[in-house]
Order: sequence, then structure tokens, then C-alpha cells
Amino acid sequence: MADHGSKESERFTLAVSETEIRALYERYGQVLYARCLSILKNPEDAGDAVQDTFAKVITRWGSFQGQSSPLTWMYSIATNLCLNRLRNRKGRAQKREQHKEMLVGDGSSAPGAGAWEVTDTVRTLLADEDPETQAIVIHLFFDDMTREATAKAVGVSVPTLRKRLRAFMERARVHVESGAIPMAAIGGLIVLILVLQ
Amino acid sequence: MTDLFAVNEGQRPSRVDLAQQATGELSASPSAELEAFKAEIAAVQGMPAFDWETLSKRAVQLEQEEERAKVASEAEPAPLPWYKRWQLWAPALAFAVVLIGLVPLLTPPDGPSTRLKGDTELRFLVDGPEGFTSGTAGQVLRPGDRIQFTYRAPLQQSIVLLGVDGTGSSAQYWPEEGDIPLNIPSENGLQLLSGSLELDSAPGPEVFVAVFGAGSVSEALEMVNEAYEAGGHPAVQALQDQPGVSTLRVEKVP
Repeated sequence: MADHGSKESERFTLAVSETEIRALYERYGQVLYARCLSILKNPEDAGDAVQDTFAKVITRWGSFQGQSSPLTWMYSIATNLCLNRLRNRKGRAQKREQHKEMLVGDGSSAPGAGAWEVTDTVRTLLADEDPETQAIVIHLFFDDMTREATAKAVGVSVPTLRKRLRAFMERARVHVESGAIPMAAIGGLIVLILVLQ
Repeated sequence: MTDLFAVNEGQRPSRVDLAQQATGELSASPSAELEAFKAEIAAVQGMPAFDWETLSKRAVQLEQEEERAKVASEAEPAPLPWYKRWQLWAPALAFAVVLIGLVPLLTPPDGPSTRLKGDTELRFLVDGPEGFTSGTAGQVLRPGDRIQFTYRAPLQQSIVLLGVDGTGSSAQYWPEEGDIPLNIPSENGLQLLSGSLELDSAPGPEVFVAVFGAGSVSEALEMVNEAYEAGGHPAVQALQDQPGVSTLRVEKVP
């Protein structure tokens, strides 16, 4: 344990030294960044999420008791941070949408317009889901885990997981049909719903 | 993210497994998947360089933000959970009590929705403009219709209510989650299953199956899935011939 005190940080204990955190960063940073990028799609957001993950590791390393591997522990921190960013991003997008009549030129374009795909639907809807469904979707889609492994990781039965997923995909279908996504994505979503059932 | 349309059925390692192998957390023999994963990770551009000063400052900042949020949440007590707010549940409870009293009046004793087999019985009510009315077996319903189940199961102590929709997909309705069947009062007479169900948009028949006294939800679900695989919806309906099982079929149109 190391205490790297500055005036601002005197009240907070940094639980890991620079050397230790550098070693963790070099070993896990790139993998974490790639995962955050796959969830967030935006390199800047992904970079910030990784930085925040390691910032949290700095203060919480002492509480990491080795119940899981360092990677899965950091994955869970990064997942929460990514979900926060998706929520914030959605809030910003809604604000832009509310004020789009005040914008000029192509400023009214929704972010990512024209580049919608199935994964965008997943990202958009994730922000509003309950934590359990969020975890299911992240493990299944972004971590490519099996249904069984996902159910175990989240602590639900496989039938419950299927039910949650079906409800999530139903919301995705409604989202698509409401016109939020161009027709190109609809076919993909229908295939996905059928596969998941 | 891997191919969205190819759900991992266990035929390949997950990306978490691969990440653990790539970082040396798990030992692994060389494989095409691992090599492809390593190459993919190495090709990802934009990873911020390590900067201790930035990280340690950010660590302190995040701690301060969390502390402020904690203080703010302590200063403002959280709202009572829904079940402690009697204004919310008391009217629903009163409505349920009235409904239970009305059920025998709403449903003729030998009406078309009655399906008696052995000692158990499953019926349903449909929420319409005039409130809940008795449903009939085979009734045509629409997506979004709300139905509520009633049952008669003297001497039984638990229920699992499942459904198989038009696509053949099975779902667990009661208990809502978990593997333990829902406890029910061991009483004679028609009982109302608490809560209602909103029908989804899968068209075609939906067969609801009430399994009384099942050992577990997964056991009941397995029985239903096996029946469907063996003979589709008719086979699921035929489960009513088994003791302690009642089924009910409705038709859903878009």
C-alpha cells in the first residue's frame, strides 16, 4: 500500500503504488480499452472509461480480496462506468433532440444517424434497463458468453435469463418499429430475436 | 463485439475466457481463437498512455464525488419502497378482494373456460372496458390484452405457471423468477393468482400450463419443453391428462 499525498488527496488513501498500477495498466489496459470501445463505440469515451477504471482500482485495490480474477473485477468496474456513459450520452442526445429546431444546417442530425445497426439499438436501450438485464446483455452480446455462463454470472436461472432477454428484444423490436432506426436494421433484429428464442 | 447473430452455445471460448488467456490469467494452449483475439486487441487504436499523475488525481476526484453523493443521499432520505406506501397497494388489495368475491358470479360454474381434470383447474379473466370478465378457452386475444388467472387446486401447496407461445418459445410466468414454485394456500374454491399478464405480440396459439406441486420450476419447464418438442402445442395441451397439471389455450392475433 502506498500513500501518495497531495493537499487535495490527504483525506483519501491511494491503495496501490505507481509501479503496481503501471504493471496492471500494461497487462490489462489494452484488453479493457478494447472491451470499453466495443460497448461505447466512441474512442474518447472508451479511453475515459479505462482511465476511470484504473482510477477506481487505485483507491479500491485494498478491498479487492481476490474473490475473482483481477481482470473480471476490473471488467465489472468498467461495465458500470460504461453504462453510466451510455446513460449520459442518451441524456445528451435527448437534449439535442429537444432543441434541434434551434440548430442550423445538419446540426439536427441525431448522433450516429445513418450508421444505425443492431448494436446501436442494444446500446441505446441498455441505458434504461434494470441492472440485471444490463449485466445479461453485456455478458451475452459484448463478452460472447454462453447463456449458461451468463445466468451463473448474474445469479439467475437460464429460463429467467431467456425471459429477460425476450423482454429486452421485444423492447428493441418496438424501438425499431417506432421508426428510431432505418429499415436496414429491422431484418437483422428480427433474425436476432429468432435466434435468441 | 463478435457476430451478433451467432449466440455462443459453448462451441467457442467467450471473450472473457480469451481475455484471461491473453493476459496470462489462465493458461491456454495455442488456438486460432486466441491468436485472432490477440491480433484484434493489438490492432485497437486509441488506448491512452499511462499517466500516473492524471490517474491519481482522477482517483481522488472520483472518491470526492462519491463522498459528496453519499452525503447528499444521507441528507435526503430515500423514498419508501413501493410496498411500504399503503396509498399504492391498498387500493389494489381492495380491488383484488372485491374481484375474488366476484369471480364465482362472473364465471358460470360449467362455462366454456372451465376445464376440469382431476382435482385442479385453470381459468382466466380478461381485462376489458368493463373491467375483468371471464375468459373462454380458445378465446381470441390481442397483443397487449391483460389477463389474470384463477385456479382451483385443493390439497396442492404450490403452483408453477408456464406458457408456450406461437413460436414455440416457453416462458415462466409464476413464480416470476427463481426455481422455487410459488406457494399457494391449500384451500378449496377458486383462487385468484395475484398479478396479471400482458400478452406479447407473438401470434398464434399460446398454451398456459399450471403445474401444481412441482419439485422445481426447471422440472416443470423441462416437462413442457419436452412435450412441445414431441408434438407441438397439442402435446403441451395434453399435459392436462397428468395429475396436478392444468392447461389452457388461447389464440393470439396481431
